[in-house]
Amino acid sequence: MVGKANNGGGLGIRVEIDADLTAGRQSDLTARAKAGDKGAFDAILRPLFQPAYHLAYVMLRDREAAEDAVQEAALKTWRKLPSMRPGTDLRPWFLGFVANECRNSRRSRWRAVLRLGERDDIASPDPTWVSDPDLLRALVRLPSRDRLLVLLHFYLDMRVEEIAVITGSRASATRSRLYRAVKRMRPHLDGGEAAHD
Amino acid sequence: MIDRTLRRDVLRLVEELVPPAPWLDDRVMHSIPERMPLARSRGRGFTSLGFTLAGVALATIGILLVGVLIGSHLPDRAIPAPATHVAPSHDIDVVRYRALIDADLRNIDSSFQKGCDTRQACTSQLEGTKSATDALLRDISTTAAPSALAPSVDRLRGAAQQFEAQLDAALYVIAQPGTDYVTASAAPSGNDLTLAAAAVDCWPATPIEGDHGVSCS
Repeated sequence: MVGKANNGGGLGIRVEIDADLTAGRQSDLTARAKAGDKGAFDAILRPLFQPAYHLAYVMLRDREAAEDAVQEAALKTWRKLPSMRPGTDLRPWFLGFVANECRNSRRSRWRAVLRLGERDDIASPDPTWVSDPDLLRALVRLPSRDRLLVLLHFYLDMRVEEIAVITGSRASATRSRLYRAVKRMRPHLDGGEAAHD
Repeated sequence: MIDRTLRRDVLRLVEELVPPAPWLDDRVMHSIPERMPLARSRGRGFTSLGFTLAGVALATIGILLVGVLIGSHLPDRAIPAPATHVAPSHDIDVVRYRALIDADLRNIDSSFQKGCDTRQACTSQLEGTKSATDALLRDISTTAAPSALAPSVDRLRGAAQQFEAQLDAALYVIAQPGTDYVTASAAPSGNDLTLAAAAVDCWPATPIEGDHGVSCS
C-alpha cells in the first residue's frame, strides 16, 4: 500500500510501504523477489505502479507513453533484480528506471511535442480542467529534470537523499537544484501563499 | 508553510490532470515473465591484493576527509530540503544583485550536479565547479552589494570560500594515486552555500527551517 497523506503535514504521497508491511516483511519480500518469486515482486512493487504512472504522465504528457514507461521500468527492474546490490531499496530503484524511461522516451518521441490529443495539451495556456492553472504552467515550464525533482519531492513526498539515488546526483546538489526549481515557480508560490496563509 | 501549500497543490493538480489507468497494474504484471533470467555469475574482481589496496585507499581517504569535514562545518543532516521563495523587492539594485548571484549559483549547480566514474572525470567536474565558485566570489568582490544585503552577502562569501576549500581538499585526494576518487568527489557539500543564498533571497526576512525545507520568515 502506498501511504497517503501521513507524512509531516499530512500532504502528498509518501512512497513507502505502510505499517502493514513492516521493514522485516519488506526485506523478506525483496529477498524472495530477488530469488525469482514473482508474487513477492508483485506485492512490493504493485503499490508503486499508479504513482509511477502519474509521475510519468506529467513528465511525458502522453498516457500511452506513460503506461509504456511504467511497464518497461517494471520489466527492467525484474530483469536486473539478480544484480541488485544487497541493501538497495527496491522502490527508489524502480522509480529510477521510470525516470530513465521518461528521459529516453522524451529523447525519442517527436509526438510528445507534436501530438496534442485527449488531455495531453497540459502546457496549453488555459487548461480548463484543473483548478490551479498557474501551478500547472509553472510546472510545465520547468526544464524536465527540474520538474522530475519537484514531482518526486512534492508529489511522491520523497526525501532529497532518495531523489539523489534516483537521479544519480549528490544529495547536496539535488537539494540545491530543488531549491532553485521551486524558486522559478515563485509566481505561483507568491500568489498561493497569499491565498492560503 | 509555503512548502506544505505547494505539496498539497501539486498533489491536487496531478490527480486532476492524470487520466485514470486502472488496468495498468495488471497490464504491467502480465508483462513480467514468470521466470527470472538467470543471475549472471559475477566474477570476484578483487584479489586479496585488491582488497588490501582498497583498504589502504579507504584509510587514506578517511584520514584526509576527516580534515575536510572538520574544517568545513558540514551542516546538520537534519537540514531539510529547501523550498523557499524570493522575497519581492522594489529596489532595482536588490533585484539585479539577486539575479547576478542566482546566475552564478546556477552555474555551480550545473557543474556540481552530476556524479563521475573516472578519476579524470571527477577531477574535471570538481575543477569546473571550482571555476564556477571562483566566478561567484569574483562577482561578490567586484560588484557592490546593496547595503541592505551586505550581511547576507558576507555570509554567502564565507560559504563560497568554505565550499571552495572543500573542493580543493577533494581535488587533492583525487590527485593521489590509489584513492577512492568517487567518494572524494562526493565529499564537498553545497548545503551552506544554498542556505547562504537563501539569506540573500529572503531579505529583509530571514531563512527559517520548516518541516520540509527552508522558507522566509
